[in-house]
Amino acid sequence: MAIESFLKVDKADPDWAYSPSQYFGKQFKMIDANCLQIKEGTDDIMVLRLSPTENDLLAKHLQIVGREASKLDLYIICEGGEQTQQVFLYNVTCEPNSILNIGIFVKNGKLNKHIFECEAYENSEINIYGLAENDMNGSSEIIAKVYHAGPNVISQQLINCSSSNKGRTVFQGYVKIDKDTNGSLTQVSNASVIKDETGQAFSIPQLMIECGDVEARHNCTVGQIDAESLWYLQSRGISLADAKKLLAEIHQDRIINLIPHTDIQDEIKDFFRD
Amino acid sequence: MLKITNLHVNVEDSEILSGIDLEIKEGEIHAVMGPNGAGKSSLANVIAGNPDYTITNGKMNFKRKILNSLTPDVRSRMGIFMTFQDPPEIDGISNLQLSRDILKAREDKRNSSDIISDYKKLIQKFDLGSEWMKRDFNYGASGGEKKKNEVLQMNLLDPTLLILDEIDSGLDVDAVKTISSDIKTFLSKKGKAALIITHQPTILETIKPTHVHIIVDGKIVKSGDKRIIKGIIENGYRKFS
Repeated sequence: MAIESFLKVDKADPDWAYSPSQYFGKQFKMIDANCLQIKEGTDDIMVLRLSPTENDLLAKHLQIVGREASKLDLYIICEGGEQTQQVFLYNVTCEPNSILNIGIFVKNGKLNKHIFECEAYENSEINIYGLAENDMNGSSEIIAKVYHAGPNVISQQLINCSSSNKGRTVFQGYVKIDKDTNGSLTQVSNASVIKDETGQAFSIPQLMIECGDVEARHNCTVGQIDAESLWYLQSRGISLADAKKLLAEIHQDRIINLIPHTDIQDEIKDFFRD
Repeated sequence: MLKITNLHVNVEDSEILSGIDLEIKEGEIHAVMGPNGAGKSSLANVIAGNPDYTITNGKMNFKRKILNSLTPDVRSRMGIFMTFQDPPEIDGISNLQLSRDILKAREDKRNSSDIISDYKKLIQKFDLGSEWMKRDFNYGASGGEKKKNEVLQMNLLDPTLLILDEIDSGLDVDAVKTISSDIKTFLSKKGKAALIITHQPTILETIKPTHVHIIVDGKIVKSGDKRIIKGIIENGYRKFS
């Protein structure tokens, strides 16, 4: 599969159903296209707080470019409302020797979908980690496609999801490692927890490797809150409701604790725990 | 303290306890022994309130309150504490933090520095290593460390009725000595009582039971004092089957 058809999926692609192409056009109204560019050799931290309030079908487009030898820690925090249906498309380019760490934190919304289409060139590193939660009869979705376009690229996707109250989460993590990209390392990891009888979770990892000298791992699980841990916590004096809440928070903390900035850690904890 | 009358219990559709009668008074230490699958651990789990077990008949009273319909957390806060045979590993929260959360749920009056100070002393007592506080709860811990963590929590929570479900299994001789000597000291305090589930009589050499019960096929088939243990060591459980 060529880069074009990998990143701009068409109807022949089996994951077409989740392709952004259906959101750009008649059904969804495209409202803006912004570009975020990190200059060569610079280092930056950025937080994007996206809280859609409009009830239209909206698609937003953001281009993120990490120029050569730059480093960016980007945090995207997005809460949807009961009627908001919005799709966020991020076209990400990691130029040689650049590092992009993208934290994506998504909560609720009728449709709250974030699609990352990433190209990573030699010696670059892209890490996408985050949380998707939906507890309100909607769908929170994180879809990441990472294309290793050069040698010695490191990419990681670490996403935890949780759903309840007829909410749904979707994680799709795709990696394509092209020919002649020796020394690549990639990991796709997702743990989706369904907190009650009505939640749903979909977890789809896909690795396409066309090069011999690579290290690739994936680990995706979907399940309910561990019954043994719940019983244990109850036996120590914690109520069932609080034990569930505590285990759900621990599930979130496994990701939040990866954030190197404590003020942002606190903000994200508050975001999910309000 | 605890009075069990004609207790019948099912797991799914199978009866696993068939008419248990047992009374434990303050200051008493009851040992329950029996072959594999006899129902010993089930009895411990039912008293602690494991939701996998269904009481089909009978009654349990603890401190004059009927336990049957009380949730496990309420039973725990009333003073019942069961050590687990195989405690879970919970990664993402440290041993110290989970203990803090447990104490908070129990409305423990100790402040944060008192908790840390008490916790450090217990880590030292059970030789769990200085990193134990920061390590994820039981995560990657050996069987022995997990059992020590159970006894550490017992000390931290200070329960009234202690249920030890095979606390000695998987422990080396030295660890059994450390743990059993600590439990013995704990039980010597006023107002405590214990139910000890065990296969092996070794732990009972230190924690001397006041009463011994043999359970087979979900029923107590013999009760008496510690002289029963001698018979078990010599003849096993065959004569009770």
